[in-house]
Amino acid sequence: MKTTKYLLTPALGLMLAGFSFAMPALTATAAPQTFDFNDPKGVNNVVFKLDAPLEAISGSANGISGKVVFDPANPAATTGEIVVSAASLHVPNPMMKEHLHSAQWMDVAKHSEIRFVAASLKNIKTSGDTTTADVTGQFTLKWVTRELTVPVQFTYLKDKLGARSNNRQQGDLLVIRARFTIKRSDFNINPGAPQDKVADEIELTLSIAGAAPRS
Amino acid sequence: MLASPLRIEEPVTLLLMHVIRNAFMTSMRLKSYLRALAAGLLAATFAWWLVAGAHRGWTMTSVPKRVLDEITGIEAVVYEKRLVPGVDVLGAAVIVAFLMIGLSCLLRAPRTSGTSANPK
Repeated sequence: MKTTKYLLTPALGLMLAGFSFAMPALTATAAPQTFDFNDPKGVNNVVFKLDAPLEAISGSANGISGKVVFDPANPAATTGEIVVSAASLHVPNPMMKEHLHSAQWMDVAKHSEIRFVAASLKNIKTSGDTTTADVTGQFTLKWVTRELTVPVQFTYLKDKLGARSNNRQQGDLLVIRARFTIKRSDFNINPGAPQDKVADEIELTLSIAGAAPRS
Repeated sequence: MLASPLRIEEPVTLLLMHVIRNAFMTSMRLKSYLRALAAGLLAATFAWWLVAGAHRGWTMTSVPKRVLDEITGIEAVVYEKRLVPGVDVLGAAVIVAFLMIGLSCLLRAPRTSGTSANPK
C-alpha cells in the first residue's frame, strides 16, 4: 500500500504538472493573435491587371504593411488593416510607370497609401488550417473610400515562422489570399481616359503572409 | 590656231565632267547606301525583337519573374533588369527606315544637259 502511495504521488504530480503546462499552451492557441504583414522577405505582393480591348496592363506592388488580429478558433472576430504603399506600384515599362505614379493617375506623391480596413466577416467556412470568408471593409484609394466585400482565404500555419526565419523567431504565420475587382472610375483614377486603351476594371490579386512571433 | 581655245577649255571640261560624274556616282552610291541601311535596320530590329521573345506589348526594362516561397506557398513577383523590345521599337525602326528610303528618293543625279562637253 505504501509502495502504491509512493508511486501514485509522483505520477499525480507529473500529470498535474503536465496539465498546468498544457493549459497556457491551449489558451495561447485559442487566443487572438496579431499578425504583422510587414514581410522582411519581400514576398508579399498585390498583382493588378487591366485588360482593355486595345491594351493589357499588368503590374504589382510589394510595399505591404498592416496588422491583422486573427483567432483560428474564432475567425469571425478577425479585424485589421492591410496597407499598400502606392509608390511600390511597378509596371515593366518605365514610361508607363512614370504615368502611373503621376498626378493624373495614382498621384502617389499626394496619396501614398492604399488601405483596406476589415470590419466584418460573413459566410465563414473552415476546413483544416484554411478559412474562407467574405470580408467587408473600407477600401481607400486616392481620396475615395468605399465599402467593399472581398472573398478572402486565410491559411493559418502554426509554428511555421521558425522555418521561415531560419529559427531566429518562433511563432505562427497567417497567409491571406484574395482576388477582387474594383473600378478605376469609382476611385477617380483618370476617369476620362479611354476605356478601350485602359480598362475600367482593375483585377487585384493579393497574396500576403503575416507573422505572429511568440515571445 | 583653231585648236588653241580647245586646248585651254579641255582641262576645264574634263574637270567639270569628272566632278559631274563623281557627284552622280556619289549620289547614286548614297542612294544605295541609304536603302541598304534602311533594309538592314528593319531586318536587324525585327530579328532582335524575335530573338528577345516577340513581345507584343510596350518595351520592358524589367521582366517579372515568379519565385515560390515554399513555406507560405506565395508566389513572389521579382523584377529582373532586362531590356525586352516591344512593338514600339519595331514601329520606330519602320519609321526611321521609311524616312531613309524617302530621303534616298529625294537624291537625284545632277543635270548634265547644260554642261555638255561638245557644244555645237
